[in-house]
Amino acid sequence: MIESPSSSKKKLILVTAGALFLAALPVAATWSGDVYLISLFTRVIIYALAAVSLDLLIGYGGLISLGHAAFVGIGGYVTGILYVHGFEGEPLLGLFGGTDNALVVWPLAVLVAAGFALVIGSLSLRTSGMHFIMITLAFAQMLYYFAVGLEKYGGDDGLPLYSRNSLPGLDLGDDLQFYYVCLFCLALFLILTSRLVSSRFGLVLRGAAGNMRRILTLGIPGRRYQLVCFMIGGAGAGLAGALLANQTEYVSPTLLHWTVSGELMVMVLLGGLGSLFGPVLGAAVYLLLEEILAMYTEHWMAYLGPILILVVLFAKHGLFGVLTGRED
Amino acid sequence: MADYILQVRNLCKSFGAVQASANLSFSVERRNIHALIGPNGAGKTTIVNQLSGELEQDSGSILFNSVDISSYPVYRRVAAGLGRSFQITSVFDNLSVAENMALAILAGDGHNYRFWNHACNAASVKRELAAALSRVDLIDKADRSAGALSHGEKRQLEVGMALVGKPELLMLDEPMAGLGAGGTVELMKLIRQLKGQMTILLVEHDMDVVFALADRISVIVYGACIASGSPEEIRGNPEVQQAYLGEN
Repeated sequence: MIESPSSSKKKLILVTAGALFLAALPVAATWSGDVYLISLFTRVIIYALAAVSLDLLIGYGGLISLGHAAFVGIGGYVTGILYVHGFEGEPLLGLFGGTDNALVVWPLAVLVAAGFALVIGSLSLRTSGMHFIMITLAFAQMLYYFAVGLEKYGGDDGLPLYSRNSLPGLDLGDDLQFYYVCLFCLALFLILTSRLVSSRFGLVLRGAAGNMRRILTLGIPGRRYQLVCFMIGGAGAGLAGALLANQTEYVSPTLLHWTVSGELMVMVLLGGLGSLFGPVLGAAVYLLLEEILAMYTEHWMAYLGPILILVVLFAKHGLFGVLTGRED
Repeated sequence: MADYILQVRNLCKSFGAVQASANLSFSVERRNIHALIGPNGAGKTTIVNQLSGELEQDSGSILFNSVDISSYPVYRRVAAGLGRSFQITSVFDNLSVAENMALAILAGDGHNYRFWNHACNAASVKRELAAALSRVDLIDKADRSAGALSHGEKRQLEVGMALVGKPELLMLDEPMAGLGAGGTVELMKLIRQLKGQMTILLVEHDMDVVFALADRISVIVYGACIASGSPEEIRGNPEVQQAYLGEN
């Protein structure tokens, strides 16, 4: 990545400020009595995690996926299904019992989402461009209708959880503790992905996004790298899904609906494509605007639309790009 | 018997009614500069694309170091030692000059499923990057975006990237295209230096360049090789003069 020294300095300041803000927010909210801010920002953080994982695909891998909600939903359903089996004591597939232990459920949500990404990715990556967009969308919608048909797990109505997962030493039912656990997950994913995009893997990935033909003639099987990227993105979304199921204590097919994929894409574009940190800002702005505009009108989308158009037209690198002065 | 690095046997490729390669056969001797010439539309780039594996032949075989590679995908041919540069410059416009070169270096240095350390801190990149950039005179522009380079500089980068893979056989597809006189002289000097280290298959329009550099020349007309020989033999061949040189 080509960054001028002044823009990378601004980026450092901005990321530090953002991290301090998110770390201090619950303290300030508790002090001032605006406790609802904690759950609002928990939602922001979880959506940010999903948006960052999508940015890895679109902004670095050149893989414009319109089916990212599938992996969020899979993470959610893994959490929900394991919970229900644990609650009712009925073994899953007659093999193993369910559980509400986050140390088991969340890694499983990540692994199952990555597994689905492996299957969906290896079929979708046979195509590119417009076809890739359509085939990822088709897979996600297929899974959506599959979830609707899952009568055993609530079908259309979804699946309620009666409590959040348990994490030894912590009480996730406590909104404050849950907030910091989510923030920890987001921070971890951001650190891992920022290292990843400038690593050897990331360089191959960015090269493949810009010029796949050249990657192949350098002797690198570029599609395989894109597939691994697709799996990492899916894994991140799977974790976001598990967290979201915990926050709302509810899983439903709407998690997998294409409108969620669309929302995530809007967050990425709004915040700044190919910046990893931008989508965090994008998620915050999107969800806060939704919250504020919805207070005045139920047609809040009508106001959000023009804002998005302006950002896409005039700020190539999104809000984060405007704030850091990124020019390339 | 001569030591052939590349043997093309009865290669055929048609696009509908057009025969791009018509029972094409020629052989390239090791450590030679072997030029492919022919009038426009003779099918030279199609041949290079078939050799690199981007186009599949309809029939015939390609032997590289006596191994039939005609069913290998592109990246396996590269791994076997067959490198190429493109007629239309093909670098990574979205990456910096240094990153372009680093990618070319890393391509030949094991797998790239390494997710943590910075790509430019890899031992092979630290060892080779500066020399690889200097060789094509781009060390001062290392941090520039490759997309912002001039056409000539992109071509230098392209050739430089093809070189770091240390291919046994380097295919240069019209390397002089779009270069000014100065650039052409520079690049000819570079190609001469490479002679002896590797075999070069040169597809080139500029006859002065071809006759100055080539050890052997094959003349392609309508996808078939009508003559192969030393520059003197080709110059004296009446068939070639009629089919090709005579027209100019």
